[in-house]
Amino acid sequence: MISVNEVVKRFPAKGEDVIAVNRVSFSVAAGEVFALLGPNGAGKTTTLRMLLGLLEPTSGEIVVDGWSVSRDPEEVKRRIGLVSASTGLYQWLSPRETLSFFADVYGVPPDVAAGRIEVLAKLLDFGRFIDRRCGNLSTGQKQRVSLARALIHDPPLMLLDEPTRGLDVVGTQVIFEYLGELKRSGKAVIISTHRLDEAERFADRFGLLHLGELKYLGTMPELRQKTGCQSLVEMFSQLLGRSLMKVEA
Amino acid sequence: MSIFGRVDSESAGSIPAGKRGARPLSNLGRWWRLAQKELRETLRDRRTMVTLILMPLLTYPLLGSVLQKLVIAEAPIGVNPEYRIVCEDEVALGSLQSVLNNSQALIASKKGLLATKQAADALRPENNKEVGQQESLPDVEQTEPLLEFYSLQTLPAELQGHGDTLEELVTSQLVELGCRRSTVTTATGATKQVFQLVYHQNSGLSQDAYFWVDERFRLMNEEFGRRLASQQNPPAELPAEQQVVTVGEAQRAAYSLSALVPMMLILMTVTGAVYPAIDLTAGERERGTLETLVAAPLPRLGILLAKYIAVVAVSVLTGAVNLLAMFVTVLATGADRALFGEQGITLSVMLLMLVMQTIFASFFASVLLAVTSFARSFKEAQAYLIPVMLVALTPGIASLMPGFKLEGVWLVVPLLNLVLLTRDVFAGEWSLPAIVVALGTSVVYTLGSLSLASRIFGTDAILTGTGEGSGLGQLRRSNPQPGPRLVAGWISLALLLPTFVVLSGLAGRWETASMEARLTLSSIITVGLFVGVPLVGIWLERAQVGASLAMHWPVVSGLVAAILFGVSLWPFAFELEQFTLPAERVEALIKMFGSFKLQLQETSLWVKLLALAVVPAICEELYFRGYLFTAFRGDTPTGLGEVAPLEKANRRWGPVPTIVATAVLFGAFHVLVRGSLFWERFLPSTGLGLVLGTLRARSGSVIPGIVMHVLHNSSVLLLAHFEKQILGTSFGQIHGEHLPWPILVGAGVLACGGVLWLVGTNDQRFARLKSGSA
Repeated sequence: MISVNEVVKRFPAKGEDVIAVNRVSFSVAAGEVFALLGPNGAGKTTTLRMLLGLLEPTSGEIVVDGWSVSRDPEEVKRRIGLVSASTGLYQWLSPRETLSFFADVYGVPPDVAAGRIEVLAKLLDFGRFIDRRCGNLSTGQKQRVSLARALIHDPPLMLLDEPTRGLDVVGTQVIFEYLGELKRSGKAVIISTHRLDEAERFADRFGLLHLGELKYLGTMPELRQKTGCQSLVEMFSQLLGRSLMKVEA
Repeated sequence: MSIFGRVDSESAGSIPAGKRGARPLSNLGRWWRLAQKELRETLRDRRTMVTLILMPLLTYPLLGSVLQKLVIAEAPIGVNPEYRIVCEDEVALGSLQSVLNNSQALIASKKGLLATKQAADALRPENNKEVGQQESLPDVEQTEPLLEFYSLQTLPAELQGHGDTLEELVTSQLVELGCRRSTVTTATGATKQVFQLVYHQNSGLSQDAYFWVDERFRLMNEEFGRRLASQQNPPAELPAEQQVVTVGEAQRAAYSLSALVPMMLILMTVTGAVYPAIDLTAGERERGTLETLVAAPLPRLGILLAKYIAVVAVSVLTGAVNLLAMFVTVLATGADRALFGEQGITLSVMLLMLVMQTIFASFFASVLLAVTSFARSFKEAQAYLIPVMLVALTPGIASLMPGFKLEGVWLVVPLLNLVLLTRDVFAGEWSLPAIVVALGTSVVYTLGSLSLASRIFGTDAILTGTGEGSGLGQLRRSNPQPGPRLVAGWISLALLLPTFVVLSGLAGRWETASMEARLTLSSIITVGLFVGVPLVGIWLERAQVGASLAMHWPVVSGLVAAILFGVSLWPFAFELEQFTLPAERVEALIKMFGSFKLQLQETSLWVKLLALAVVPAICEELYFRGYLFTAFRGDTPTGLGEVAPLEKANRRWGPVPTIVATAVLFGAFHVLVRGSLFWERFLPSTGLGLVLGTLRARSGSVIPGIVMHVLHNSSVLLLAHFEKQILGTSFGQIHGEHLPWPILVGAGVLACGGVLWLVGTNDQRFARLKSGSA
């Protein structure tokens, strides 16, 4: 479904260029949840933005459902549903208007969109406030609408960038249920988070990014075997410890 | 793979694997819905409603009362205005006084004033000391003027020597109103008085005197009609008819509508457009909606167009509410005549203002979006817009200066051209060519601004806060491109057009310098603009210079055709110009360029060839058929006539629209010479551009065009240089007459050869070229 090959992203800066992502490669299959993990500044969001076609890779190639991000960015965008860290809703529109608008943007016929909005309202339980203005909704309610917005065009690939940031226990639980639904429907899911404990619960495979490089890649048993650590938290402590020691040396 | 298995099938909305999805928002209707969403969001925002409705409702009554005070303040404080009225003879004087007396009595009776009789008595002629002697009406009301009546025969000393007619006296502004009286016999045999009133259009006091008298005539005639209708106490006299004669300028300098309108329109537009422009760009990023919008499969230019429509719509709506509020306020305060002249404020004036306001809004919205697209937050956008707004007010002030005319360089200066155009339209002094140039250049600036906005909006630097810092670095793309993009083409045009006009105009005015120095300066400007601007664009795009400018060795057939066209097209260009030029225009041009031509004759042929033929040809080709052509067409020639297969993402315009667009722009640039407009150059230059564009499209290279252009320019120049020798031959006259037929036939044969060579060739590389650009 998704293949990321030797992708590099440099940001021009005075003096030396900043390498935000350095030769990162991984792939994600349909029905698989892939967690892209790392501390702040590891390159998670930059990688996701390149996947989305919002940033151009300096080199390397990203292919989504057979379409190259560099050559056919619009075809790639059409196949991706994005849940960003910010809820990203128009405060003067209602959830129904927001979803209808994005359905239109993604080319979903109005009658099909209307049916989907009803399904999503039941699935994510926002029917009670579907005609209220988004600006008047709580953070959790906004998050539900945002999750629905990403699904309105029924994309085969979902990208979730820090979806649990700022959410309480109930909100986080909604995300877990959402991920379960995505998995059941056979979508490829890439989730970026620094909540390692949560990631362990829902992801099938993991990519551990640090300073723009993909340090570890594999399932939980594979990572345990490679690192000798039992949990993702331990693996990261080990990784960061080594890095700190390198700096001190 | 669908979460909506129960409500829709894959064919009803889901994207099939490996196939292209339905093109979203691929038609105008959908783009309009995107604009509607922007509009809905903006109009629901309370802050928009404040600027849209509350501001005009509060501002105009306030402004109205201030203006009313200003109008009243025109008269000396505490002293009633004095109107000096001169009649042609004593009969006219008596009749006018009689009408005014009766009208005063009528006003007084209608108001139920106790002073009615006293006022009427005081105005009766028999109470005057002597006809022609200074008379003044008593103060019936506080605002009543003091009237002085004279006849031409009994003028006081201070009014004598300023003219023998009423018109001359009123023109001297020593007298406010002139009056003639005549009588006509109606069909029923009754006698009717006809008064001819003369006033000065450029004098506020004279106008006020006329309005005052006019109002009394109207009252008397209405009263006559009323009594006639009721058949009670029918009046003894028939109503007086009046005719108006005006002298002086058609407008009042102090409150000229045409001078005030541009400033009003700028203020209205800015008020309406600023907030939505910020909200829909920087605000989008601040709210976190930018990322989801640019992650959607929409071209950025399309997103910006929808936002542009929304900003223009809100701005026009604000303008309409402002105009309505102004209309009501002006009428309510009675300041319409004082502000807008005799005709007052009419519906047609308001509609014209709305049309002009839409034009202003269309231009401003694009500029505001371009500026606010740079901002990462609302606050940052506001900081960027303050200097823009201050700069925007400057042209508004220019419209108040009568010496500022819409001509030459001012025709293409952004905003100033629209301001001067508005002033001229309202003054009734517009010309069609000026409208075409001012609006045409404004369209180019609008497209350029929108292209710039779409280039910036949602880019790496705005989205992530990273990039090469500020200035040009922020505009530079992070990854290399094969050639310039369409937006880069529009931006280059928007930059080049005004700069070219201003700089070439300045060079033309450097008349004290030698011809060699002027030609050198002209060449430097040409190179700097037509090569410098594209090179900056290429640097910003990180594009390849050779591919962007189509600088590749062409196919031999292209070169042969270029040589044939280069030596054969000048007679046709000449004939086309002759057909479109009237004789008087030829004479005017000869006069205009007479001295220039004489100076040029004394300049070395090689200098002229270099500065007027070779340098312009190379530079113009590199820009029009190189950079601009590649940007419009989206092809990137790879050399030897081959064009890289067009990627879908790069495919832009077809070959014909590209050739036509570059040719028309090429023609338009040739119309502007030394700050003046030479329309006769448009058709020949556009025709030449069409041939040059075809050569570029067929050869995939700019070099045949350069060869043809150099040869064409050189032919024209050599013809001018050796004009005397040619005139001595049997070639005949050049000016005002057509070329001898042998020249035209010879040129036609060569041109046909060029066409055949270009079209009929079996060159395999042309075949590949055709398949590549199909």
